[in-house]
Amino acid sequence: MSTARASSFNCTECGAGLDALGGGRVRVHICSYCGAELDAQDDYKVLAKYRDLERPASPFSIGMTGELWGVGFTVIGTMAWVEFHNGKRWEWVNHQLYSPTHGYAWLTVEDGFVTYARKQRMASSPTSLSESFIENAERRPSVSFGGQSFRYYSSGRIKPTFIEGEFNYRPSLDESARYVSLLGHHQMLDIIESGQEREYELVSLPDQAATLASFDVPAGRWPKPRGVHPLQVYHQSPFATFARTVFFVASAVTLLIGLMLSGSGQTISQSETVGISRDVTLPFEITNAGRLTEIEIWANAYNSWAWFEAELLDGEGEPVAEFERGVEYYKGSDWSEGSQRVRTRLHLPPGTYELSINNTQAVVDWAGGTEATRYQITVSHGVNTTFWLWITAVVFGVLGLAQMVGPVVHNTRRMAGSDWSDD
Amino acid sequence: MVELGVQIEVTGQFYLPVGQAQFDYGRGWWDEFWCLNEQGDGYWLSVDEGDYALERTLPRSAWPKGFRPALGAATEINGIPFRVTEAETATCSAVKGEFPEALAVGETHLYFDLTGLDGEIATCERWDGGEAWSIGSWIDAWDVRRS
Repeated sequence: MSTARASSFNCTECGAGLDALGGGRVRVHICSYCGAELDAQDDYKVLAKYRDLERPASPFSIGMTGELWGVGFTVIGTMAWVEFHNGKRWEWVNHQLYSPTHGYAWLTVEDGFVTYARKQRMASSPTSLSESFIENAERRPSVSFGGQSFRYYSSGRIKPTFIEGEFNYRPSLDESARYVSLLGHHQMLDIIESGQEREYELVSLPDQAATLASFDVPAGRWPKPRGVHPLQVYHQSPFATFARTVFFVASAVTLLIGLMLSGSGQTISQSETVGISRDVTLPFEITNAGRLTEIEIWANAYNSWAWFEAELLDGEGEPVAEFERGVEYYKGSDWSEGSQRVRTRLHLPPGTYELSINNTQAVVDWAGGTEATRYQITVSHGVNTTFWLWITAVVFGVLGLAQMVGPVVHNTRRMAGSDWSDD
Repeated sequence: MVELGVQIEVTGQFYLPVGQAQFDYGRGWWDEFWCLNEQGDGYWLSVDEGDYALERTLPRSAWPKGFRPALGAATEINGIPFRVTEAETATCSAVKGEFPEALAVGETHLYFDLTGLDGEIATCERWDGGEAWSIGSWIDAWDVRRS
C-alpha cells in the first residue's frame, strides 16, 4: 500500500518543530508559527513568508483525524477564502485532507455546513461557463460531467486570505480564482479557474454529526448551520409519507362514494310554471321509506328576490311541515351570488301529501334588477345528502397536501443561495 | 485497499492483482500492481497516495514520435493530446508475484506521467536498457472496492 514517511522537522525559518502529516506528494508546508512557506520537495527551503494573517475560526485544526464514509483522513492544511459581490462578503475555510488510500481532498466549513470536495481529472461538457454566457443565458445553464447533469447554482471571484500547513500544490495569496458551482442530484460540481489552470471538484455533504464526532470536534465548537444547504436532501419521515398516501386515498374514496350517491332523485310531482302571484297546490305520494324527499322552488328572479310560504299536509289534512324560502339571485359582469333555485329536504314516511305555496312576494332591490314573474315547484324522492362527503373529501385532500408542503419549502430554501434569476 | 490476490472492482470491471512492485521516490513510495481481468488481459494498476490509474501496455507501433521527456511537453498518442505532468526517478524497492516483464529490486526507473484533457493518462518508463509505454485512465479512489 502506498504511503509516505511520517516525520517531524524543524522550520528552516524559525526553528519550530513541525509534523509532516501529508504524505510524499506534499509540495509546500506553511509554518504554523512564523508563516514561512517551505518547499517540501527541496529540503524545506523557504519560498515565501506570510506574516500577520488572521487565522479563521474553524472547528477543525491541523492534525485532527477522522473518517468520511469509512475512510480515514487527516487534516493537514487550512486555507481561508473570501468572496465579494454587490457589497456583500462571504467567507469560508477549506482544510486540506490527506488519506493514504484516497489521497488529497478538501473539508470545507461554510455557513455552518461541512462539505467534502475532491479533485476530478475529467472535464465537463462544456468545459466551463463564462461570465458572459451565464449573464446572457435565457434559462439556467447546465453542464454534463461523468454522465450526470449539473445545473448552474452560483459563480464569482474568490481570493485566499490565510494559508497554513501542508498542501499538495503551491497556493498563493496573490492569486484570485473564478469559480462556477453547479448542482447535481447528490453532488455539486465546482469549476475553478486560476491563471491558466482549470480544475474540477465534486462536492458532497457528509453526515454532519457523524463527521464532527469522528474528528473529535468538541460539542461546543460544532458549527451552527444557517439555512438549508443545496445538497441537503429532504428526508420525509416514513409516517408522513404513509399519512400522505392514506389521506389522498381516503379523499379519492370519499369522492368516489359521493359521486356514486349523488343525484337529484326521481321527480314524483311537478307544478306548471305559474305567475308569481298565484298559489300552487301540489299533491304527491311517497311509497318508499328511508330516503329523502326534496322540494325545489325555481323562480326567474334576476338581481332581485322572491319569497315563498309553504305548508305540507298529510293524507289526513294534518300539517306535517311549514317553512318559508327565499329565491335570491344577483349577477354582475364578473360575479354572481345566490341561485334561482332553493331546495328543502324532508324525511317523510310513506303516504299521500299536499304541498301548498302561497303568499308569494317578488322584490327588486338592485339597480337593473328584474322582478321574478314566474315560479315552479318540483318534488323529488330518493335524494341523498352528499354535502358532508364532499367536505370530508376536501379535508382529507388538504391533509394530504399538507404533507407535501415540507418538501416544497425545503427545496425553495435549498436554492435560496443561488445567484441565478429567471428574470 | 488493493492487495495481492484479492479481487477488486473498478466501475463494474473485476481485476485480480497478481504482482506487486513498490517504487521508492525518496519522500515516499507507490505501488504498481499487475492485474488480470476476467478475460485474462493484463493491466497495470498504479496506486499512489489515493491517485489510482489503470493502464494497458502500449504497443511500440503506437509510441509517440519525437517525445520530449520534460515537464509540460506536449505529445499525441492514438490521436489523444497529452502533456507531461509529472517526472519522477524511482527505485524498485520490492517485488512480489507475477509480472509481464523482469523487474529487479534496486533498479532505477525514470517515469513520465502524461495527462490528457479528459481523465486519460499515459506513462513512459525508462530504465537501463529499456523503455515501455502504457496508456489508460485515472480512476476515482471511491470507485475502487474489494469484491
